[in-house]
Amino acid sequence: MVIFVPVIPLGKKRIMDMCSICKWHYAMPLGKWEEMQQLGISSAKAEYEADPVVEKAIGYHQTLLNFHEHEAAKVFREEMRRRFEMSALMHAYLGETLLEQGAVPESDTAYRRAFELKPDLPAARLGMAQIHLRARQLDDARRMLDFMEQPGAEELGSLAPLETLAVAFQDAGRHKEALELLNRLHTAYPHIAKVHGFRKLVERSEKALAPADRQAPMLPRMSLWERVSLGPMKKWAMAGGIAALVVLLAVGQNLYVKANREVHVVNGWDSPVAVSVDGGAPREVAVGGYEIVPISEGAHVVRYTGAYQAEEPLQFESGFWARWGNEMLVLNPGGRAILLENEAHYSSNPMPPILRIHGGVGFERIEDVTHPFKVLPETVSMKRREKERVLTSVEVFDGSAAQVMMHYLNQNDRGGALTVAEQLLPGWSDDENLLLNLNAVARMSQQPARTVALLRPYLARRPINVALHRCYQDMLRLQEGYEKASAALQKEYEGLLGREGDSSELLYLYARSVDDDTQEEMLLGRAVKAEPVNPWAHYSLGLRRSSEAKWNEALHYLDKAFGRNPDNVYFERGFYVARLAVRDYDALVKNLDEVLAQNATNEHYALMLAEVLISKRDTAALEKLLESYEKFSGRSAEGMAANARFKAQVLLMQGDYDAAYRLVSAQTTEKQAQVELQVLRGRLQEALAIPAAATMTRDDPEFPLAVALAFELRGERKTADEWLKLAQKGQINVPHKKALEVLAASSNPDPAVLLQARMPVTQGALVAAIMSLRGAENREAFRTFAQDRNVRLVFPAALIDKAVRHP
Amino acid sequence: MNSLSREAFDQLVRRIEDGTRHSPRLLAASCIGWMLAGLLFLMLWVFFLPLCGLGLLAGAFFVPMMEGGWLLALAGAFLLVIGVVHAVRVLWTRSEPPDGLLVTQQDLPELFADIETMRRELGARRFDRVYLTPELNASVREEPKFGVVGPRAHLLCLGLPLMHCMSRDEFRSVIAHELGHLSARHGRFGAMLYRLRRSWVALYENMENASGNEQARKKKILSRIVQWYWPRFHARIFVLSRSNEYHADREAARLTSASTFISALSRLDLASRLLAETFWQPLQITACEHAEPPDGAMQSIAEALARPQPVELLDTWMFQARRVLTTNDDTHPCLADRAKALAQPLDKPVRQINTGDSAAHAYLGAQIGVWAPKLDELWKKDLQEGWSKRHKRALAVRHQLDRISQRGSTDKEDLWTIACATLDTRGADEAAPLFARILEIDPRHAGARFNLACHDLNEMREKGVAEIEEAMRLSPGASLDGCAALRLYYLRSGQMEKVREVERRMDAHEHREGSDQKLLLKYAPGTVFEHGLSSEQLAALLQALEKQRPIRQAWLARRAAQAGETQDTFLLCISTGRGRWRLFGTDRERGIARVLMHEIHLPGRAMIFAPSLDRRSLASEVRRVPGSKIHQA
Repeated sequence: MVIFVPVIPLGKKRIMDMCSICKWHYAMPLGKWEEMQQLGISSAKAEYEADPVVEKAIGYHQTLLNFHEHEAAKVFREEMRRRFEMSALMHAYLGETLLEQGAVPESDTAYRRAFELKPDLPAARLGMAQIHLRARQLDDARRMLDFMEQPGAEELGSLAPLETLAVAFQDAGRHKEALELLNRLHTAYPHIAKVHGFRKLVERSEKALAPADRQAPMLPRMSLWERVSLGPMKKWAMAGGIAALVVLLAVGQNLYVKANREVHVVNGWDSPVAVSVDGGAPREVAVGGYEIVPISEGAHVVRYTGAYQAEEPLQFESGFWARWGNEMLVLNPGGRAILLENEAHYSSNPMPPILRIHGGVGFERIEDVTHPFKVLPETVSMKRREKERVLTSVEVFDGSAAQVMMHYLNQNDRGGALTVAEQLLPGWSDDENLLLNLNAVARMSQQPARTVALLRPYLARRPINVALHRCYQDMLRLQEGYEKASAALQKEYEGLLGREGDSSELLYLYARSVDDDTQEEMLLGRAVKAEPVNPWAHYSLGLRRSSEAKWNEALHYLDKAFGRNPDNVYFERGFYVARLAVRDYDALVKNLDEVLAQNATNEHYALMLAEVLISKRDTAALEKLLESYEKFSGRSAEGMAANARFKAQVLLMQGDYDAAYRLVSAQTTEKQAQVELQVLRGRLQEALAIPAAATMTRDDPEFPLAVALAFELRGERKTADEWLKLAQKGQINVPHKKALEVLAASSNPDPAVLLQARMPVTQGALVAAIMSLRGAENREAFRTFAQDRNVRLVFPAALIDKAVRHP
Repeated sequence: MNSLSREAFDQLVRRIEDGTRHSPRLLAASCIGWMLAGLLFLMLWVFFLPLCGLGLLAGAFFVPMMEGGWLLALAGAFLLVIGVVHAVRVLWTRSEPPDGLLVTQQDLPELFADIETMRRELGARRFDRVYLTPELNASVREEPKFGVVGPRAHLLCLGLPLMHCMSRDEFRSVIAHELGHLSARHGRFGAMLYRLRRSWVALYENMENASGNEQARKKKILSRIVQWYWPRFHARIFVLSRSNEYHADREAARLTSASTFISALSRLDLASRLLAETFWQPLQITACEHAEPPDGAMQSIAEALARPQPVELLDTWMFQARRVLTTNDDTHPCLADRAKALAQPLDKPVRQINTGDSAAHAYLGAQIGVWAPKLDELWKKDLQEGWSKRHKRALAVRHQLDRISQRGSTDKEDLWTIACATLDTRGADEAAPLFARILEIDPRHAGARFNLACHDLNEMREKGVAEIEEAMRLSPGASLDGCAALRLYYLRSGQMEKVREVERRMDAHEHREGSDQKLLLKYAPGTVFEHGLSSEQLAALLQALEKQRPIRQAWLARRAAQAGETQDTFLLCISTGRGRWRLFGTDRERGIARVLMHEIHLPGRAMIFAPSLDRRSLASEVRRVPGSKIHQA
């Protein structure tokens, strides 16, 4: 058994009064109510019994009704009727009471009796008037209430029944009589003229009256103030006042916001930038930081000093409502800072956050930012019916535009990478890595025209941005109609050289644009002479020597280029290959050891070292490197995957393709390595069935050549030809395409064509290897060509080597 | 508004008077302290909403509109508008100009010369304006010079009737009294207190006017504070004002003479009485006949005051005036106390109210004929509204009486109507025989007895005391009005103890009337006695009890009527004989009590109850009364 013990003491209550709509009620303890009931009723009863007069009887009856003793009251009514049969007062009282209780017939009887006894009794006449009103006998009702129309009647009692009668006359369309009664009320209570309801009644009758019967308006006109303060407009006026205050505040606040917009000044440069608006005091913005500067909407002049120096106009204006939104205004000096907008969706099943990149422009609005330069919370408390909440943060990215591009590329989003490069280029046009990435992405995306259009406006900028020009030229070379564009470009450079004199950069760029090999060599020489430290000229000369397999000379130039700009990946790679070619192993090992001492798991440099050690045949050092790499990679899944990838590459370079393939075959991320290893293993059909092969065919100019070589080695020339055609359609320069066409079409290919084309080393080696398997007359020349340029061990070096050794 | 009973208020006033008798500064400091506290609370109360509104609006200014700012703004604007309306309602007090004629030095040079002389002697500040009024009074008023705020102008109001009833010296002493208020800076401080008092009254009225739940809420918050603060503050103002009156009396005596000033006060008392009986009372009846107040009122008053009165009548009025006592209804002390304070006897007989050489003649001379008609107009204007209402009422009553007379036959109810109408339109003297006739028909007619008793008391006839007591017994609803009539009678007859006793009764009645649970029985041990029923009454009761089978035992006792109650209470304790400790209450007994309530007939209030948990001690008390056990099944 369960016994409930109420914590709150409960008790029986008597509900005294209750609102039927809101159920709010007043109650009191039942005991008290009953005590009051007993004392009240017994008191009235005792008074009546002690003095049984009609007034006491009425008092007792009223008390019974007050305490809801309706049955007892009904019984007592009979006694009253019996005992005070001749009392008009009692009958009038009963008439009123019974009417209140809804007993209309009984009430009518009582009133009629009261009227019969005393026709002058006001209460009886009032009751009779009500009877007539219900019967729509308005004239009779008015006759009964005539005492109220007597002068001064208002001093003896309320004239409210006259209003009821007036309304009844109105409803019956008898407006003249209604107006008479209303006029009587107005005379009795002059202040009633200011009561809205009364005025409406009067207006209704005055309007309805026939024009002939119309008289001057009964009520005086109310002033505007009276209408507002006394009529129903009072509430509207109050509401209007409140609304006006709110609107006033809203407009005031909006104007205040307009005059004090919080503009976030961000700094993406390597040193602080000071910003000054309209000649005001400069505010310094730290590197990677931000400052909030209040600026009014409108036109301003912003002056930047420090890392970025410029004076720029600024004009902005927001919409009325936008000022109350989460609009973030950003001043980005030089468009350098990269802002990451992170839109996070909080819900039980949230969608992934959306990342948007901002930057590249000097002033920007970012909508709906809830957390400017703040970290978004891990979790949020949602309201009961809230399904999703979206919070957005904005932060300054602590990195370069090239890294942002890489982020997109790592996600295989080339379109995004290209878009972001285009977006950020205005602030990062001096960043060689961004331009190199842009070059690569534009090439892979096969959108050279788009990139040409993008870069074109930057060509006129000074100082000359060589990397940008190079990218522009490379994109031109990928386009159809290259010759025409190249000729135009040459003319442009000639013009510039004429205007700007022997600029080393211009000479270098001009050299890259000319088709004549001798002229190019001459121009590069002039460029080096004009500026002996111009790295690009040296790099170009180094590449030219590399293509000629003059590795010592190449090393000379590439050393200078690399020395001038060691961060340039082109220079680094060119220099490395040249050093590998001249077997500068010990120095290379030393240099790479130094780099790896900083970061032992840098896969790029570790592979380079492994290549050197394999080339050097230093097995012990290689083993040590492998152990070290495994150790530092750690035991995490990511580290182990990296270690397997590294080992596979080392095994590839060592020629153990099966072992290498076993290491990467299970890894879904190593599709490219799987393709390469399958090609090397001779399993060409399996290799080309891997989806990554298609991408490689499209993006990598060397891969289709390598596949063509592999088929050539298998004796499948027809298929090899098809792959050569694919190579021509891929990412290969127009001059190189032409050389390849000539060679492929020729029954006896000429090595001079290849030499003259100055293809990149590996591409040249691959073509030469293929040609060596075809051209009986020049086989040896091609073999030598390929062998001299096949200095590396990575894919497709083994194929070239196999071709060279082919009987 | 005053939560203290009259007795408690009187005690508080006495205590403050005793405590500050020798240190007026302490009294003033106390008044200022209470005033400031009151002001502080008032300001907090009045400006709480507007301040909240402003706070929210200020908050809204710094919160974006779309992030909840609009909600703050809306709430702030709402509170601000409501709060400002409320504040204006509470704080707005309109200062009406005096109903008088502005007079200048050119108009009345001698009056202004006297005022100036006395002002200099007292070192009082100059009056900004002087008004001639149609009242039998003189007073000093303050009003703001520039609308509502700012420095205040001091106005002297002098009644022409007062000038008529006093000699020039006596009138000078009255002016000196008013100047005395001004010299001690009573005026400014008094005005401040007055304004604060008005604000409190407005606040309370605002609270009263609020409806439904709003009222209940406001009352809960405010009423306790107001009801605690107001009487205590008022008591201090009261003592201060009375102290000021004595001070002004001394100044008046110093400038003229004590005897002149007391003579002026005595003459004022007599003139008031004379005008009340020979001018105002007939005027009330005239109002029933004529739609407009009569012309030449100032002349009529002057003539009434100049008319020789029987010496005996004057002696009687003077005797009654000397017996009137100081009460806490009025800051002015009674005549006897004021004379005593100035060490003046009050035994000098007054043979004529108007000395003949009145201040009116001295100051206005032949110009009375110019000023009096203008004052007549003011007087008529002032009287018009009340006059018109009275006249209209008389017309309606006459119509009613015509209808009754047309019917021919008259019963008690008709007589009552006619008597009341006669009282209204003809005065108490003509109505008295009609009330007497009603009493002949129905000796228990409370209304008729009450009116007759009031007439007797007004005429200072002692038999009215017993009559009005009987009327109050017959009609408890008339107790407060009856007590008020009794109190006036005792005051005028100098029976202070009786006055206090009546006041205690009034307190008790008011307390009961104001109580939410006035019908609940207040039980105090030792107030329950034997029932005292006759054998017939008891037999009838027992018969009713017999019908209720479940009743095993019954006890009956009588509780005597307490203060404010008009009937004894019979306590009928019933027991159904079931176990004492029951879980589910006393529904059975309740049901029986409900039935019995209508069955029994007792000569007083009855309470039927079971010895249950809520009335157990009362049940024990009833059962302890000897002979209370009346029924045993």
